Amino acid sequence: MSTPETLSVVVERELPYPPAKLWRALTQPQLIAEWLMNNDFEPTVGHRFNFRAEPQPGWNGIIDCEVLVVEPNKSLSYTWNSGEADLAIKSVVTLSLTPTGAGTLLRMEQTGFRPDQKQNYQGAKYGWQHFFGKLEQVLARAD
Amino acid sequence: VRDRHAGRQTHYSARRRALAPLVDWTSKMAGFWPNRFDRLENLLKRMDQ
Repeated sequence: MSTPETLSVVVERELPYPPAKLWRALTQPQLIAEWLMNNDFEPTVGHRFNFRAEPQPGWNGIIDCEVLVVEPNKSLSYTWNSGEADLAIKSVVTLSLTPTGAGTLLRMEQTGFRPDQKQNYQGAKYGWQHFFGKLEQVLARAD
Repeated sequence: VRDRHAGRQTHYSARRRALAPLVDWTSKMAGFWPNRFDRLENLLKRMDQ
């Protein structure tokens, strides 16, 4: 029996702005393009969209996504799939907003796995917290 | 017993090779997101409301 293999990146940062302002920057396509990448995002569950970056050797620069969770001013999640064949990686990005005294704590968690592990994709799609067996966290502190 | 042990070693090596792209990708993303958060902060500063 194979064990699900995933790796996670977690980045947290406290920002001196209210959650609603962060939410706009996270969900309006022209604002997203300013800090993340060109996109055709819409804040609707099930919406399929792309991020587009500069192509590089071995990568066409396109990231395929589908919106999973939209909880205004609280939580945003979408799949993030890139690469092809041997280099293909599937992942789920979850952005969480928590109000603090000084503004908002923004948390980004991206959990990646290889596409041939079908059970992982199902798990990530419906709530990664409950499905992953072995989970290694790479915690990248912003400051 | 020896054949079974060798079989397990082969399986373990094959899995590590299969996961190598995932390890590389994760390292890249660990650098990517803090940089994007810097750009997000810059945008938030520039936004009026």
